[in-house]
Order: sequence, then structure tokens, then C-alpha cells
Amino acid sequence: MVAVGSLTLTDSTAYNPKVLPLPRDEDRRTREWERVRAAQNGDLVAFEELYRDNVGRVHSVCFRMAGDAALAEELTQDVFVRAWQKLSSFRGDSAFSTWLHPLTINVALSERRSGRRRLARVMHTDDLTPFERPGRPAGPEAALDLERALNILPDGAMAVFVLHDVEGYKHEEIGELIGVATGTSKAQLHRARRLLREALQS
Amino acid sequence: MTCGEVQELIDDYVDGALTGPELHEVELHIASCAACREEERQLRALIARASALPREKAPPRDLWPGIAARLGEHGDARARWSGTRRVLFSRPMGLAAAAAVALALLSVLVGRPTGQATPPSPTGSIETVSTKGTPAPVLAAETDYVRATGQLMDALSARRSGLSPETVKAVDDNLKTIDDALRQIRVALDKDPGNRQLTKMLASTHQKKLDLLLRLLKLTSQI
Repeated sequence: MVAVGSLTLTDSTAYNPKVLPLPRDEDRRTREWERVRAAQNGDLVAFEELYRDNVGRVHSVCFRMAGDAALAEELTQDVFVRAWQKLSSFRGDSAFSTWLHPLTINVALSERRSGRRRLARVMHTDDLTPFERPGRPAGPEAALDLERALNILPDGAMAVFVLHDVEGYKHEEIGELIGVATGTSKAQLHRARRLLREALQS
Repeated sequence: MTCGEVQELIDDYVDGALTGPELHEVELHIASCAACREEERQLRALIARASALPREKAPPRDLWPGIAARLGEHGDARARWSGTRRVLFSRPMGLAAAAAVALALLSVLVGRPTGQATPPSPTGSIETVSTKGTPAPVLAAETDYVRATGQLMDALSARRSGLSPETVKAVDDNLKTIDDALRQIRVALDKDPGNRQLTKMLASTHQKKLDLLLRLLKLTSQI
């Protein structure tokens, strides 16, 4: 007898859909949903597992939108605290990561709007020397330059650029997510791209 | 179509959102205008760079202890049994409560009665607990903690061979750092036994050590 996740296979099993393992993705979703249900009932260990599965994605968005490593860590923690508090509203209609993503965006945007911790970011982004050196690097250094260049963007333009060009959202989805008209989202994207090209060429 | 008109549509053009006559006119203009062609090239290059950015970027340090602490502070974490798993935090997370949780957890994970003391492993664990001036409840709780971590270290010592040398070294380094911190806090507590902040630090540092050992135990269970 072999245990596979929560299922059990016996030596005599030839083909029985009730005991054969689920496809990998579905199995993962099932495990994730079990963790969510446990976390909804107060199980912090299950929530830690959800954190470990999703922290890389959440942190990458926070880092890009915050433009500051320390602030990104703080925002990432804020996201998971908020997620825990709102977890009862998650019904499992989508992957947990799909539910978590708008929450992450909103936490990061709220931070930018509040200006609560803006001083650190302003001090960080005042250093524009990386954009002043001649010749643009390729590969990972180019990616680093782009990430740093995001800091020069105004809040709205930065948010739309990250959502559209990095995360792959459509303008209509961005409009719903951050509460702006589709036309505004397009205008912000145009502005962001122009400013970024100027910064990266300088 | 003029360059200005193309500029207004060029984002939709590179995003593939233009259709019909507008698409045709923009294509015609770009084919005959070097400046707009260069604009298009730069835009596509920028978009390619943006879409190539990694979707995941792990934080440089583990943020979970801070999150768990905040959930505990806010009273959001409700300690409870869940099958064979145990929630690690409850509110308030005092030293005695944390030590009790640690011992209960041990009885599940290691399968030893919590009342039986086991000599701690010589590596990475606190072997003695200072009694000088330490309030009795703190001393009792810390003794439980030391016993708990010692038992975990024993359980893990047999499984270390399944871990990579890098992992073993990282764990040993972390344990040493935690133990150094525990010693410093204890020295400070000896001088100021009633200091609640120090007691709290002692609890959280013990909890960090316990979390590390439990994580490692989980890891070795999966190998």
C-alpha cells in the first residue's frame, strides 16, 4: 500500500479513478485549498505554508512598487497580515495566489498614496547616478536598471506600468483593480513608458 | 497620418490593440518614417525588458517571524489543535505559555512524554539555565524550553546525515547566533530580573530557536 498525499494506492489497483493520484496542478490546488480551510479556522501553521508558497510573488510586486528593500519587506508583511484578516472572504473560486494578487497591489498602492513612509523612498530615489553612466548594460544588470528606474515614475504611472507591462494585466482589469477609467490607465502607461525610456537612455 | 497622431496610437499599436483602418494607417506611417520606427523599436525593447523581469523575488530574510508576531499581538491567531499539527502562537505569547506550547508540540512531533527530561545535544543548545535572581516562573518556563529544544536536537541529530553540508552549516550558524543572543539576554536578566522587555526577548529568542528546529524537523521528514 502506498500513500500519495491524502490518497492511498493498493498493489491491486489497476485503474480506479477514485484512488489514483490527481493531476499535479489539481493536486496542488487541493492541498492549497486544504491549507486555506485550515487557516480560515485559525491554523497558523497552515497559513505559514501559504506564506511560503506565495511570498516570492508578493515580495516582487511590493519591491517594484515600493522601490525600497526595507519598505518592500514591511509591505510584504502587511500583505500577509491583511490576507489573514480577510481570509474568511476567500471562497476558493480561484487560486490563492490569484486572490492574493489584488490585495498585494492595493496594500502597495495604499502605502504610496499615504506617503506614510515616503521620506525613505525619496531619499533612495534621489540617487540617480545609475542612470547617468554611459552605455546600457545587458542581461541581469539591465533588469536591475529598469527596476531602479521605476522609482522615478509618479505613483499612478508606476502602478499601471507594473500591472500592465510586468504583470500582464489588461487596461480594463487595471481599471477595476485600482479604480481608474480605462482611458486613464492607457494615458498613465504612455506616460510611464516615455519617462522610463528617457531615464534609461540618459 | 502625422507623427503626432501616430504618437497617440503607438502604445495601442505595440500592444496589439489597434484594428482596422487605424492599424493600417499606423503601419503605413511607420514604414515610411524613421523617427517613428525608432520610437516603435524602443517601445518594444522596453516592453520586452519589463515582461522579462522575474515574477518572483524572495525577500532577503525570512519575514514569517515578524508576521506571526503581528498576528499574535493583534490577537488574530487562535491557538488550536489541528490533527497532528499545532498552532505555534497564542495571545499573549508569554514565556511560560510558549514553553508549554513547545512541550506539547514535542509530544506530537517527537513522541516523547513531556515530563521526561532528555539531556540536550552538545551542539547548538543551551545546557544550563542561570538561576541567579531569575523569577521562578521564568526559570521554570525556560527550563521547559531548554528541555524542549534539547529533545528536538536529539531527534534531529539522527537525521542530520540526510541534509546537505551547506544546510547543516547554515543551521549550526543560526543556532550559534541564537544561543549567543540567549546568553546575552540572560546576562542582562541576571542584572535586571524584573525587566519584562528582557523576559519577552528571551521568549521570542527561544521561540526562534524552536521554530528553526521545527522547520528542520519538517525538512528532514520530507527527505
